[in-house]
Amino acid sequence: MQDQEQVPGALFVRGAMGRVTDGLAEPVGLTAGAVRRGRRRRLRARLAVGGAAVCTAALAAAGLALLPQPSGGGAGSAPLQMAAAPTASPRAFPTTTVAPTASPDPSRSVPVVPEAERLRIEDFRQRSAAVLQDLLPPEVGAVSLLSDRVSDYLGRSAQGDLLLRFSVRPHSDAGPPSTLCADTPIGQEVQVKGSTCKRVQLADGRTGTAWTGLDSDGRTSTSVVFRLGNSDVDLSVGPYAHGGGTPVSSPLTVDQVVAFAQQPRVTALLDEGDLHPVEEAQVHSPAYEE
Amino acid sequence: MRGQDELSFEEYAAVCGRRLYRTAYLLCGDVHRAEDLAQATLAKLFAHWRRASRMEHLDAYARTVLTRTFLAEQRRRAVARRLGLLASRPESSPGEDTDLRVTLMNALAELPVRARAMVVLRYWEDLSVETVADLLGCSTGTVKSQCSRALARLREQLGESSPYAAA
Repeated sequence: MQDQEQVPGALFVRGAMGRVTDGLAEPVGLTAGAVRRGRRRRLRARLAVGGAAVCTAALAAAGLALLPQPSGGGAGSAPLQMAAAPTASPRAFPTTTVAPTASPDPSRSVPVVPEAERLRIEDFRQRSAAVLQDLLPPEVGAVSLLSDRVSDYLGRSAQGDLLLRFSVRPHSDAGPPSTLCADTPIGQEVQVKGSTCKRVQLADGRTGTAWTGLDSDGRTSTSVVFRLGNSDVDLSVGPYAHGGGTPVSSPLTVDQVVAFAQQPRVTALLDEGDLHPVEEAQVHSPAYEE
Repeated sequence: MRGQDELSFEEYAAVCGRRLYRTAYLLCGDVHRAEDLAQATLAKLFAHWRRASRMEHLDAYARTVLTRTFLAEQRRRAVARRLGLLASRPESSPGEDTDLRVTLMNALAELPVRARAMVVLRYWEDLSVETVADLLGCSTGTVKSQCSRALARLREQLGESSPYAAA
């Protein structure tokens, strides 16, 4: 319902809009073009899913081939090696399982994810990993998928391990509370318990909050969070302490993380994740893999 | 998707395509981009038609897809423009330039992208403040204040030059 005092104004503007769009010519071939484009979209989606499945199978086969033969296989059988990601296209980023979930609660049932949905999420994660690898600076190292959480990736380099979070999950009112930065002028930094936050303006006019955090060992993490459509977005880079490697500070400034968030490849993926979620609302997403 | 499904999509597109096109034109102000936006929206629906066609509020879903496609495209254009990859070009009109069309589209073009989307969704699509806020991911207060300001500006500008002001 329109506010009472705005009704005449609203009717007037709607009338003007109606008269202007009445003058538009009928778009020719709209449906036929949509069917053509829709078919291409479906084909691309299927190829991507199929490609991911083929890559997964190829990786599994490569891993089996590298296993030592049980009969000895002659003198000097090769020791077990980590299967390297194939260098030929299409790229496939490996999944790293570094911290098995401790004593899972048997009363909590793990949702069964249909195979098609699992492949869709895997495809989304592979493309997210590719974006992280391609658009973040080389100091991030080699990117792999972390099995514990759908939104998490590992950046491993000679310097150490980084947790890369690429999260777009359905908004929930029970989500993160608004921060001290919520009402501050754009760009004004606010100190919050050893961390610094500031509101930032993104290219489309929406605002987000950029954070620089410090952990107890003085290592920094940098992130930006904002609302996109029906989703909460969290893009962050910080030390990763669970991989057995050395956790290191984020090599990115918050401004670099904000710039990353506005790259067309990133926004396209975020839009896709907003329209077709790969994470569950509010709760820490359970790993979709066994 | 073959046969019955495709037929039902074509029937839907024939009925709703023009409405989407009109909304897209008000959002972007360019007939070619509007056609592309409407077509992209329908293509996304087609790609998931089996699921989409079972939705209770399919029109609302289509409108959501259109709005997000528009906002995503605006973001890409803003980045491309900043990087110098996109030259600004005049918007293409549907032919005859009436005073009303010129004034309305100029007035809408002066609004920030999201405020423009709010105005179109609120006053053209007649959505509630809550629905617009939900769709654009902002508070109802923001929608109310932005729409109120935009409405005043639109009335002022249309009122000054339009022969329809008395309507």
